[in-house]
This record gives sequence, structure tokens and C-alpha cells, in this order.
Amino acid sequence: MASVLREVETWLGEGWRMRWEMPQRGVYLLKEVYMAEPSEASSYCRGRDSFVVVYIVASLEGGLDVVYGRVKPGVLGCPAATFTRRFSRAETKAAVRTLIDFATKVDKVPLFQINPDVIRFAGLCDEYPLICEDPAVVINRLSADAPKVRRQVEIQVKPETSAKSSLWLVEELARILRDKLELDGGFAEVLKRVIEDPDRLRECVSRHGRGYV
Amino acid sequence: MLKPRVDPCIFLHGDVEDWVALLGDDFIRELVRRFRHVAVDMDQVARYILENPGAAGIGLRGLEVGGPYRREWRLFVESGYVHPGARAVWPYVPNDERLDVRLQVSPCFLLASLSRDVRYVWRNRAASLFKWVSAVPRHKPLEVFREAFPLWLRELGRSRGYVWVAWTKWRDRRNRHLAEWLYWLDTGRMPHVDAIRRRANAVYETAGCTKKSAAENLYVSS
Repeated sequence: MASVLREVETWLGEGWRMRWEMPQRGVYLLKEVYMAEPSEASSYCRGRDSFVVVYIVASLEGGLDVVYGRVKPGVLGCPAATFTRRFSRAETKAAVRTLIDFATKVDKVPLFQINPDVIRFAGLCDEYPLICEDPAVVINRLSADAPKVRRQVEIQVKPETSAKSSLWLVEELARILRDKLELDGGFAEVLKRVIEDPDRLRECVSRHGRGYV
Repeated sequence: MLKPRVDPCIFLHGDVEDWVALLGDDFIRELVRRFRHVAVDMDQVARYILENPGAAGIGLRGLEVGGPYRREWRLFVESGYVHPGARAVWPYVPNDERLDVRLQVSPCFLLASLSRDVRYVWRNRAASLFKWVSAVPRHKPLEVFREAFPLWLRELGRSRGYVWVAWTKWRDRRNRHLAEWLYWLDTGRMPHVDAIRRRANAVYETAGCTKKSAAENLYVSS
């Protein structure tokens, strides 16, 4: 337990204070549907001393707490550690960005599990179009931008950047599929087809992935 | 404590002068302070909220609000919820016409944060809407709905009047919510806010278009 908390503390850096309590109230970064019920979490941690539920709270002046946590607020039978830091209103973007980074990089949460209204409020839709826009809109924009960006890539950008962005997209797809599989067993069929013919997916990703270079 | 003279639906009302007049200077200052990471003045804040109505409830969390609409504001500020009922009051017109459009949710409900329960209310009480859009739009809803609504319905509001639409029926219920939608789509303004600002003529001017079924029998053209 202590090592987990130390890792979180190290990742967050200076200015964060930890308390053994649930967050008071606030707006949650994740969509409600992707958060676990407290009863589920309680049954999972029963009999395991090493289990701790971690919440990260960006407390904006004026009474708005933006909370990242994977368990809904409620009666929780597990130890809960809340890391809090106060931010001024002018730092709203940086505060929300920190929570998104923690969610996606440390907890490996797929982007589509994040509540788009929080991202819109923070004005971060340009940075995270996959969260705010409808998937159809994102794909249309990518295909519209693709020829222009491809030209730029040929002129300026090193090929490894393009490969990196494709890899990012493949990782994101894998996360989405894994998550869908948890919610709906029918997605096993999709995963099977991807495994049977990975080249088809790779072609598709490389065609659309260049829009993000 | 802030005491606005209007309910949270003002955030879908596309007239900044009305925001200033009804919310008050202190509220406006607080609004600009809370949204200064995306806007520098009141006009920009208003535009940002009109385009992203879901952001309003989040930005106002923790605000203390009193005044005549304190219950609506408290619900909105603390939980991001807005009641789905119709707000505008329409003068009575006898009308037994039926419209097969199930839209029993006010456009104000766009301000409510999309929890599981709120989604259920949208699907259940505004089922017709999902013939025209696949999901509740969270960005530029006015533009999305202006394109999505069928033309015959928009035309009905203009030719027969919003009052006539309000007193038509869907099953045993009146279409008051639908009248609010048509008024909002045509003007970008909320009818009950216009009524508070005593622009009754703007709201009810199309009542003159309304045909009274009894009058048709009396005045038969020769």
C-alpha cells in the first residue's frame, strides 16, 4: 500500500497533500458509467491489506473540486487516500491536464472514459479531440486532413514521428477493445478478427493515424 | 449572496444584454472570473456557454445563490441538474389537433449534466428527438438542432404560431415543450426569459396566426 502511495506522490510532484479520506464532493473526471460501485470495490479489497483506493483532487478556488477516482462516491469498505492540491482559476487548464495525464498514463484509462463536459469546461477540446468530438467527426477530420498532413510529413517530419503517432493510435484502439470486452462479451469476435488479420487494422491505422502528426 | 432574477435557462438565451439585466453585475463578474481560462469578457463567456451548455453547471459549482429562483439554482449549482419541465406560459387557445411528436422536455434540459438518469429522461420523454439526432449534442446544440429538426415542424411554428403548437396534443398532453423548442430554434432565445423581460409581443405575436375552429364556421368566405 505504502509503495503505491509513494509512487503516486512521486508522479504528482510538489504541492499535493495526502489525507486518509474520501473526497468531499466535486465533479468527476470519468464518466459515471465507467466508475465502479463502492460495494464492488469493497468486496474486492476485503481480506487484502495492500488494496487502497486513490483519489486525486484538483481544488479550484471558488469551490470547484475536479476529482479523478475509479470508484463512485459512497460507503466504501476500503482505505481511501485523497491527494489534493489547490489551483487558482487561471490554472484550470493545467489542473485538469494533470488529472488527465494521471488517468491515461498511470492508470491507463482509455480517453473515451473521460467526461467530455469537464474537458469542455477546461477548454481542452483542441488538445483532446477524441474526448470531445463524436468518433465519426474525428475520423472525418482525420481523412480530410490526411493529404495535407502527408505532404508536410514528406517535407519536414522524420518518419519515426509518424510511426510514433500510429503506435499511439494502436495503443488507444487496444485499450478501447479491452474495455469494450469487459462491458460486452460480443466484442470478443471483433478482437478475434483483429488478431486473425492484423495487417488490415495496421493499414487502416496508418491511413488515419497521419492526421495526428 | 447572488440573487439573479431568472432561472439557469438564461444560459441558453442568446442575448447578452438580458444576461446582464437579469443576472446582475455581481453575478456577471463572478461568471467572468470563473471562466477566465477560456474567455476574457462577458461576450466571450456568453458565447462559450451558449456553445457548450454542459460547461455552465461545472463552472458554477460551489456558488451561493439566493433570490426568487434559488431552488433551481441550488439544484443546478450543486448537482448540475435542471428540471425538464416547460417554463413558458402560453395564452389559451382551444385546440384539439394532435401532433405525433413526442418532445416533452424543455430545451433548458440541455444544461443538465448527462448522468444515466438524465439520459433516460431524454430517451423516454423526448423520443422523437432521436429520430433526428443520434445523441444529445454537447457542442453548439442550437446549430445542430436547427439542422436536425424537420422542416415541416419548423414551418408549423411559423405559420400556425407557437401558441397553437403549445396547445396541440401529444396523446393526452399538450405540446408546451415543443413550442419552446420551436421558439428557441427560430430566435435563439428562451420564451419565458423574453416574457420576464416583458417582450410578450415577441413571444405571442404568432398567436394572431392561430385559427380558431369555431371562427371558421362563423366567417365563411362568400
